[in-house]
Amino acid sequence: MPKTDNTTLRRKVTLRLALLREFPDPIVCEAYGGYGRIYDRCYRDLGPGVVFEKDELKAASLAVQRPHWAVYEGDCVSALAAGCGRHRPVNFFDVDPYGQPWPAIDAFLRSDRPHPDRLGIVVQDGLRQKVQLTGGRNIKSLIQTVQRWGADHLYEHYLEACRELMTDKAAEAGYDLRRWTGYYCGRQNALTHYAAVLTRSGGSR
Amino acid sequence: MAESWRNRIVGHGAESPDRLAANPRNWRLHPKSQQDALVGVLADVGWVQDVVVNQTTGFILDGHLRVATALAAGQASIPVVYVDLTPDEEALILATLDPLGAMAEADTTQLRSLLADVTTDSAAVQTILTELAEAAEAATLREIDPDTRSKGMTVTTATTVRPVLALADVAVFDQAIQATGLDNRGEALMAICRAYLGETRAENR
Repeated sequence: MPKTDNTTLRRKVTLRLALLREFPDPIVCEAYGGYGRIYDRCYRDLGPGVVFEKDELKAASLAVQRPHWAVYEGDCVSALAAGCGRHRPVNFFDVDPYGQPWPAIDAFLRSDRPHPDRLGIVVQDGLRQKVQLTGGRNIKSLIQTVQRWGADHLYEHYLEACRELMTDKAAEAGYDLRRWTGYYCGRQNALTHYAAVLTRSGGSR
Repeated sequence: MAESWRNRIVGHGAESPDRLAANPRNWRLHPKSQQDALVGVLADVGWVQDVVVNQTTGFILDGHLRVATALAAGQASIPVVYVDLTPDEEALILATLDPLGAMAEADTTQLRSLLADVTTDSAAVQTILTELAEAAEAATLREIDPDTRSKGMTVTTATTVRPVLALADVAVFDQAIQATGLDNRGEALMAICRAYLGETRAENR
């Protein structure tokens, strides 16, 4: 399956623009900068942010595309876990990997960095296809989810399971999941897009 | 006063669709779903937009599908707007007309409001409207009930990550590194940064 298609990109952009409307002063962190297409369509007019990209050539291209951003070449999961990018009080976290988003989400939420009262997280999750094939049994980040939903049912309820997982991870980091949307897309609905607004537990919405 | 943009439209008319020439450089493909939807809209409403023809070359610039649909439906004439463009200008318009339109993003609130007022008898058009409505709906965040728990946060150590900067003058970077007198370039860079921060804080007192 190709890694993206035009419809998927348009829906990604629509979702991000919808989530951005919830944040009057967004400070964005892109965990997977890629070719910078999402930045071009969604973040270009915003203030400085943070972006990670593992590929050397893409990272160099991102640095030219957005010279006012902090651009890091390397694995985003370990970099985020170490607090990389904490000089910016990020309140909008964009996770768009080719595969699973949860390690990056974990790394961001659990690391030593400013954690805003209100946080937006927008995700492209590529795990559903794998869940369809294996029930999710061999996906480390979904171990507890598989136990909760059952390998035979997880595919059908994957979006709901993602919401539950996001709720759990938010709670571990001291947040409540307050607003949520998600849907399946891409070929054979193999991709899952979702967006969440988290607020500090006990704080206002 | 701003320079006026030229009006390249030189006339309007109606032509028999079999007299219009497809542009040999047309790159757009029209899936069956689009064809069916167009037939539905034309049957429901009729012509609301001219086919664009370049008077210089005689070729269609925009409206190939409308022409093909009209031919298939045995329509006697279709509305045409004539423009006067050089072959180079024709190529530019042919390349950018649709992509420019496709760059428009969705204001999902406005779209949902509009779709609530739109009806059609065409099954193909209804399919498109339904897809639009689903996409708008899917991108709308909703309130959910929080499920709060609290656990601790963890910090892990970093792996290698490189900041990537696009420098207009790389040489000055090396000059500064050399000026520190430090052999270790990483330490030299840190020394430069600390010195700068120290000076900045001193100035700000």
